[in-house]
Amino acid sequence: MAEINWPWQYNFPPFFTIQPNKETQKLQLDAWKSLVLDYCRSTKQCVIDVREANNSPVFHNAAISRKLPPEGILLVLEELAASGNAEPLDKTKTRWFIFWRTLQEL
Amino acid sequence: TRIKLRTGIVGIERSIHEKNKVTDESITVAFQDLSKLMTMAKDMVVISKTISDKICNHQGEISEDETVKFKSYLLSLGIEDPVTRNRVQNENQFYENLAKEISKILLGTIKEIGGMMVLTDAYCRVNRARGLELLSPDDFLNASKLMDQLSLPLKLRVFDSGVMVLQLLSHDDQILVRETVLLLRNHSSMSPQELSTLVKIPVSLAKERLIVAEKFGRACRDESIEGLRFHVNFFLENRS
Repeated sequence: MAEINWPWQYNFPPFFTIQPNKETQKLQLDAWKSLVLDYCRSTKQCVIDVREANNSPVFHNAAISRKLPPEGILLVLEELAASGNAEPLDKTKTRWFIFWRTLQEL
Repeated sequence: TRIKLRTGIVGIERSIHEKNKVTDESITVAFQDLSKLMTMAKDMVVISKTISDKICNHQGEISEDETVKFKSYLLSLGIEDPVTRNRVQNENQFYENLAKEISKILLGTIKEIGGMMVLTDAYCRVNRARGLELLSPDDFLNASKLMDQLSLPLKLRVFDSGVMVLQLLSHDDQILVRETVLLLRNHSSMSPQELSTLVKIPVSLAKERLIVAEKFGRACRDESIEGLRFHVNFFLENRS
């Protein structure tokens, strides 16, 4: 498994709480998006299951004992879907395809 | 007074019985008076309702002074009829005077404690100082609401959470946020409790202060099982 370059936000506890301030939240979600994409690319992963996501280190930083709550994960995935980097596999939105590159980029 | 005919146990029993009778009577009399008083009050309510209807119907005929007088009657009866009253005149003179008095009493202390006081604390202080003729929370709130219009040095402020405070008119959120961020930077992160002990303000105010800083985009929150903590907003500061 390839070594992942964790961004500084990953060790910043507020990263794991969805911020109520809209401007801050946008910056936070942008960081999350690029983190999730990088992670999936380097681990060669293309499906994320919201129920199991907390087992993967990307959403759960054991070193500072913080995890992103499921609502937060869903929010990140929705954001990814908005930019064409993700797509729900089912109607309940539990399993998601992650596209390392968007269709436009190809 | 009655002459006791008998002594001994029967005599004692009788005198106890007599006493009970007397207290019973005085109790019934007291309650009779009370119910009479209540029926009178009911009449007053009905009358004042009709008068307020009249005022609403013919707004021009009654002079300003009369409505002021009428409103003080309503207040003395304890009738709350704000909708119709508000149409006649925006607020009562009683409240205006009260607002002036409150700001006079509290101005010094509020300056001392950093320019902000929770409304419940202010209420405690004023009533404690008064001793007699205490204020009801409603009176206090209504008077505080008027402070802005009367251009007093204090004003009422309601936070998003619903917490109400009295603050100095000269109070500036910008300065406070700057101070809060400086403290956050020195301590890397803080919970409302920690801030409250550090700057010696109530926890509720410390929390509001942090939330204001968050609203300005200078702080961000970390919510976990350890509780709610605030950090400097590095999302914004480290933006490349």
